[in-house]
Amino acid sequence: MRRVLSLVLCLLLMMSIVSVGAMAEAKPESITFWMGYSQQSRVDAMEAIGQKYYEQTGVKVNFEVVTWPNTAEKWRAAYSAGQMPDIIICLPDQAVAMFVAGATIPVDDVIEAIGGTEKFLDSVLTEQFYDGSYMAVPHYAHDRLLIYRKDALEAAGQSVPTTPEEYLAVTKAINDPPSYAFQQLFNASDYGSAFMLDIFMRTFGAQYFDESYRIVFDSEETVKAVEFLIDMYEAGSQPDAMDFIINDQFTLLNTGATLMTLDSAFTIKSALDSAPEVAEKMDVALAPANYITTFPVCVCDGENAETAKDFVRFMFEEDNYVDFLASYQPGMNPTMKATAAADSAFWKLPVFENALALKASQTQAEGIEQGGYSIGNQFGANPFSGVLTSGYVEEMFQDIIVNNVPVVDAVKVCAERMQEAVDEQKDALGW
Amino acid sequence: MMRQQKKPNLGRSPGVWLDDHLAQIFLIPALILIAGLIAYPAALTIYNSFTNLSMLTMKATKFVGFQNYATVLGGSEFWVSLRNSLVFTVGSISGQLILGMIGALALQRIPFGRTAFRVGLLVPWTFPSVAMTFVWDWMLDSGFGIINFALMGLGIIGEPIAWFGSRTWAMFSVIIMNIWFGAPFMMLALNAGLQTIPSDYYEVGKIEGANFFQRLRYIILPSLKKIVGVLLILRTIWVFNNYDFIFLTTGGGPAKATQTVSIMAYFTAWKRSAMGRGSAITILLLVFVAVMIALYFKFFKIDSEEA
Amino acid sequence: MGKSLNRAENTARGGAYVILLLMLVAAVFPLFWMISSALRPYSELFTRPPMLLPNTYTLEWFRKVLNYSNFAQSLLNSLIVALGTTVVSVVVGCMTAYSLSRPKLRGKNLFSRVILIAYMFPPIILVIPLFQIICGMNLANTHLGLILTHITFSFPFSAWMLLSYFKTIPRDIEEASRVDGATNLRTFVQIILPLTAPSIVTAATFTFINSWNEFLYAFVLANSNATKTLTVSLQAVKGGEMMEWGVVLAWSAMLVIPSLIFFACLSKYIVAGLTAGAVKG
Repeated sequence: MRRVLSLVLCLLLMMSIVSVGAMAEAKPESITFWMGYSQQSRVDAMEAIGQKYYEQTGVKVNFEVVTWPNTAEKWRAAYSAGQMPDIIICLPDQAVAMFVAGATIPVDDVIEAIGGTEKFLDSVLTEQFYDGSYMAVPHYAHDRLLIYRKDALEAAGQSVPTTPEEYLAVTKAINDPPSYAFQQLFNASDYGSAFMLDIFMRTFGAQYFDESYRIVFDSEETVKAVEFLIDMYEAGSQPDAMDFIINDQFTLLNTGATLMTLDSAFTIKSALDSAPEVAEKMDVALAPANYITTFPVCVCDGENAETAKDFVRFMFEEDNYVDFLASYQPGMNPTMKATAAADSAFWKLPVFENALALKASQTQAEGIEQGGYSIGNQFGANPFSGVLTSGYVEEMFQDIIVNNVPVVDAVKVCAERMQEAVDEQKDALGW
Repeated sequence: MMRQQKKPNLGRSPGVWLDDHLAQIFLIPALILIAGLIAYPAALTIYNSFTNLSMLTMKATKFVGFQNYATVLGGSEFWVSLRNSLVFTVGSISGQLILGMIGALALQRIPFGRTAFRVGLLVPWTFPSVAMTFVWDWMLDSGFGIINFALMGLGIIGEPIAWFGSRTWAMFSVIIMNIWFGAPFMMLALNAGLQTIPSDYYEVGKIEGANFFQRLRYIILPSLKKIVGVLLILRTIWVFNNYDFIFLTTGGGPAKATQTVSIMAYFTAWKRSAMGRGSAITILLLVFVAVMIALYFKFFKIDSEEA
Repeated sequence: MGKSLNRAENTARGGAYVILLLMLVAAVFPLFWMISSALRPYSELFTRPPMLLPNTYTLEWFRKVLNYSNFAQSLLNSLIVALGTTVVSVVVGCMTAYSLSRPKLRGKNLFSRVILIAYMFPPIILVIPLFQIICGMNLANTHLGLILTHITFSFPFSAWMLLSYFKTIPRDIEEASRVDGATNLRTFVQIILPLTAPSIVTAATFTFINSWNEFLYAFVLANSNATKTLTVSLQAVKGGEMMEWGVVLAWSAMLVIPSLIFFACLSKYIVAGLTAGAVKG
């Protein structure tokens, strides 16, 4: 019995030594980084930056790809289980949700370490600011552009549309099944229509929210915008195709199943890679409204927060930053003034020897300069934009087209449902 | 070769008691698993259905009584989903049963090649749900799916149909996919059942000059009654509660044309973050399952020792 | 029955072959089309009309899948979870089947019913509370957490299938063993288990495949690279930033083919298992 006791005591002693030793080691051996970047080249670029950091500091960065739509659900499971990563790159409304829940912490000091807010373009920081501090650092930004087939427009004698009437006229003129003019994205598991509608709502003077985040979707202007999009569907979409999602756009464009659409310059990248013959015939222009999305880098509340912040700062060092941006162009525009400036290393990247790639990137830059916001963020970041991208708008369109619900009624019902969801959110957040 | 009756020489030590009660002891792990992983969660979800549990906070802040049930049963979405569940289930099961029966009878008929056919016909069943739904999505694609081209080539349709995207065809498409998936299972099970029918029954049929349909009606179907019953109940439970197939193809759309009760439960809990209400929906599903289980026990007394 | 087959018999057989062939084509075509599509380059994927066979064969999609940052890890995760589930389900299943096949055990009918009811519990009903419980135990995004959820459907099925087989072991063999002075435990291990080996293989096969193919629980509970299974990773490709059909089809093919080989090799057991479930009990 005594032998057992002494053995146990030795073990306890060893364990305490080891744990004290471990606690004394302030720097973590590794940090975890969740990102939605799934293309191999972007993953490689991030890993290369992580590798450089490791060589400098001895801290390993473990990257994990968590796709954008999944992040919203998965972070909650992780948070309840106490298994949040150290850094997350997500979508703007997810960033707010995490910040409000206390899963992530303010990054004002990181922005200071990078050089302060003046280092960033004005328009890109508004979506990162919430409740008195910065929730995230914007990694890159893109703008939704009009992507169109110039050969189709030429053949029909059309010029590039800018107003809704022109969009409709051009759509009717070039629609040539199976090459449809402008395919709509009505799948309710995605938010393709919500953002398309948003862009045109702004032209018609409609809004989703007001300043106190009440849904003001139910308005005459919205009805006009919805009717417009229905007209567009009838003029330029494959009948009955209610299931296109946003990332079908690439296939639709590359195969000529759609001749025009609103999307980011990523579509140009995809065409240049997979369908160069089609890319030669593509062109870009500014959309009727600037739908700018920034990609927030958030730091999670955890024991590795300090190291995480340091790595974020490291990501924005000029060389590392340009290296990352170079991994997937066109499509990712810089959020830092110095990198966006005309004489920076960014514009000298080899990819921009291609005229279309250069034009796409420049057009995005123009839109970002002009300023704009993504859905629901007209008044800045808020925890409710996620409601707008939850499929209500798509369901509304389906009801109108499939169930012949009158537009006015459908808009009303959609507004009510969104209001209910916003109220539930406000309730759960103690707003 | 009579040996002396030996008892294990352990006296009254704990070892003997343990061994004598081996059967009871062996049940303990099962009890733990069932209690912890099935009974407790079931009780928990019943409790949750009476709260306002939200996924945002993973905490229930108030007890809302029957509010969740009232909201769910009072709204139209649930009844639409229930109708879809029933259509999906009845359509799939009938198709699977009929095709399965035809296949089983055909398998019975052929003198050779049976194993080859069995293995080949089992292919659909080996597909994981994710892979199957993607392949069908690819085949039924509105722009490039091969089915559209085949049908147009045969002159059956004039223009491509958006199978999973169209209100008219979405439910039909998922049912066809489900039939493709489930018929092999039915076929094999029915075939096994057919093989247990004693050959004298067939002899009697032949002597009496019965034709195929009479044989079917008077010999085959009655003998298969038990198997068909078991299969029907098990498969019905499974199909009615199936989530993967519809989620991964249509996601319940378009315009909720294919949204079943299980999909509605998932969306309520994860998309709308209302886990309390989502739990209430699953309890309603549980009611249906309970009815099916009761039917099962009523018609097939499994606790008796009948083979 | 004369020496020559009569005409009716022949037409019936011919008809049966035709029906079976049609069904075989329908059953196998999607598999063929998936592989054929996965082997062609982007330029040939979206032709109008589609070509049944590729003009140029390419392995680029398969290579892309293998290079996908988390393919190898997902494969490992699926394996770990499936193996873990199988081991637990079959071991406990054997123990349970043994107990419930003892003639004089009290409450065994009730327990058999409980097992059957547990088997009939659809995952969608348990997913919300299990999510809560597993997160609460800090086991979200762990292999163990997912294994626990898989056990909820694997163990009852396993136990039920094994039970129907265990019941068929003749009493005398066990009696003979008792007479020889063996303990119950030894009888179990040395006599009964070997006799029920075929059903154990069947139960293990089914459990493994069901766990390997499972989607809902994995989708909800396994999201880090360290725990994502193949099914979840494949679904994520669709939710990724562009719909890469080539990758999706190649990945699906890589999921289905091992499953197919598995089935073909063990088809004897699988057919037995399917029928055991249906015919007995």
